[in-house]
Amino acid sequence: MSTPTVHLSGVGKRFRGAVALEDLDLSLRPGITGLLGPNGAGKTTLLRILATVLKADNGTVSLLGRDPNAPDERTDIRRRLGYQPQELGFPRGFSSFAFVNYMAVLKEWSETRTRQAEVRRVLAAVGLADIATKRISRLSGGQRRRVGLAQALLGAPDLLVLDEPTTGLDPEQRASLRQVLAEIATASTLVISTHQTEDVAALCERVIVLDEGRVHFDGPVKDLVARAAGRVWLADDAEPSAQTSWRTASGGYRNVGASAPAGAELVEPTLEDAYLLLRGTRSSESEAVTA
Amino acid sequence: MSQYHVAPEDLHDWVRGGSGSIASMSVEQHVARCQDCRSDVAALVASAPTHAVPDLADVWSRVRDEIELPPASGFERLLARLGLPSSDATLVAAASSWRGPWLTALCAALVFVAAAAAASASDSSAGTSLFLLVAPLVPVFAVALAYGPEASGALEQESTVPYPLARLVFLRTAAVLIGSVPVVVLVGLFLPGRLSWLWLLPAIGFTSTVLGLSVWVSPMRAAEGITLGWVAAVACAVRFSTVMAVLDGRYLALYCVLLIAGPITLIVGSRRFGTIGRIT
Repeated sequence: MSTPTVHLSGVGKRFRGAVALEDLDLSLRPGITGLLGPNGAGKTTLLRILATVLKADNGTVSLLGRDPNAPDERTDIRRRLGYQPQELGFPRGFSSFAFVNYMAVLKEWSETRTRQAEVRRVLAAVGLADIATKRISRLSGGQRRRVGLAQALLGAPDLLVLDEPTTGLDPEQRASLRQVLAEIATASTLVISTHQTEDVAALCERVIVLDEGRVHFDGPVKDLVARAAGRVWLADDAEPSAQTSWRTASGGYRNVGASAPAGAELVEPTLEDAYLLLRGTRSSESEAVTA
Repeated sequence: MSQYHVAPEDLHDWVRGGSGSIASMSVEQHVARCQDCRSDVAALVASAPTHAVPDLADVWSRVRDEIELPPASGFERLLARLGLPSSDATLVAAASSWRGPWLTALCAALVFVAAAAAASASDSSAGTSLFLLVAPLVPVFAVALAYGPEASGALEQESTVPYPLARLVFLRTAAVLIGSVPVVVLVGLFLPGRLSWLWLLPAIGFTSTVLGLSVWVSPMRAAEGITLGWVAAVACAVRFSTVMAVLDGRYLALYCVLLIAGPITLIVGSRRFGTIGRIT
C-alpha cells in the first residue's frame, strides 16, 4: 500500500471556544475521498487545514510528507496543492481567463506563454474555454464554481481539496466534472466535501462522515451502504417507526430504518439512505444522552 | 507531373526557411504540384533537428492567443515597459486600486483634503486641524481598500499559493502609494511651514501599521482602529494644546518606529502564519 499523502493525528480546532474539530485521526492516499456531514460538522475547517489556510490548535498534520507549520515546507506543499474554497471570491471586473491567469502567477507560473497554455488547459478541462474572456460577474453560479475549480487544477496538483465543487452545477456539468476529477485521481489525492451523496457514491472510493468535529464513519462507500441493507422498505404508507420516510414518484413510501411494514418490499439502499440512518442513529444517541 | 524537380539544396533551404522570397514562392508553387518533391519535403522535415522546423502547435497557440485573448490593460503594459517583470505587472494591475470605484473614493477624499488645505492656508486653525485629521488617513484607507478581503474577494485562494503574500502586499501597497501620495503631496504644498511635509510621517507610519496588523486582522479593520486612535489623538491635542502637538518630536519618533515595525511584522508574521488577515 502506498504511503499516506495526508496524515492527521489528534487534530483539534476551536473557534472562540466552540469545537470545530476534536481529536481527529486521518490518513489519505491517492484517490478520491468524500466528506459528508451536516452543516457545522467541521468539514470546511478540516479542508482549510488540509489547504494550509488554517492551523490546527493541537495534534500533528503532515501533508505530502511535509509539515505545514514550517514556512519552507508549507511553501513546498502549496506548490503541489489545489484548493477550491466553499465561498468563492473574485476580484471585480475579471474574466475567467484573467482570474485563472492571476492565480497562475501566484502559483509561480512566471513564463507568460507556458502560463497561458496552462490556463487554457484548465479552462478547457472544466468546459469554460469558449467563454474564457467573459466577465465572471456575468457568469452563472455553476460557471463561477467551475472558474474556482479551474484555478484549483492549475499544475495538476498532487493534493486537491474541493469544498462543495458540485453546488450549482446542472446534471450534465456534474457528470463532466466527475470525469475530470476521476482522471486526476489516478495520480493525486482528492478530498471533496459535499452535501450530494450521489456525487460521493459516483466518485469516491472512501467516505468520511463528520459530525460535531468528530469522525463517525470512515471506510469504503460500499461498507457504509451495507449498513443500511435490510432496513429500507418501499410500502404503500409511511411507517411511523421509520427513521425517515417520504413519498416517491411511484406513489409508494420509502421507509428508511423501519422494521418491515406489512406488505412492504425490501429495496436496495442507497448511500443517502445509509447516511440518513447513520445521522439518525447519532440523533437518537444524543437524545438518549440528553435524557 | 513535372519532369523537373527542385534541386535538393534549394529544397533544403526552403524547408529551413532560408530561401529568398522569390525563390520561396517558386519552390512553393512547384511543391504544391509535385508529389515527388512533397515526399522529399516530408523526409527533410522528419530528419530536421526540432529547432529547425517551427512547432506547428506552438504557432497555432500563438495565433489563438493573438485572436482570442484580451490585451493586457494599459496600466499593466505601462508597468511592464517601466521594467516590472510581466508576472508582477499582472499582480499589481489586478489590485482594485486601479479601478473606477477606488479612484472615485480617492478623488473625493482628496477634494476634502484640498478644501481643508485651502482653509489652513488662510491661517484658520480649524482648517489646519481638519487637514491633519484627514490627510494622514487617506493613504491608510487607500492601502486598506486595495488588498483586503473586501477588495480582492479571493483572499482564501490567495492564502494557499506559494507566492510570498508579504511580497504581494508590498507590490500592491507600492502601486497604491505611487498613485495617491504624489497628489496628496501636491495638496500639502499649499500648507504653511513644516506642516506641508511633516504630516507625511504619520501618514506613512499608519500605512505601515496597517500592513503589520493585517497579519492578524483584515486591513480595513486595522485602518478603522487607526482612525479611531488618530481622531482621539487629534481631539486631545486640540483640547489641551494645539493640533500641532501631534507633530511634536516624540510623536514623530513614534511614527518612524511604526514605519519600520509595520513591514517587519508583515514579513515575519505572514511567513510564520502563512496567511494574511483573519480567515474563520
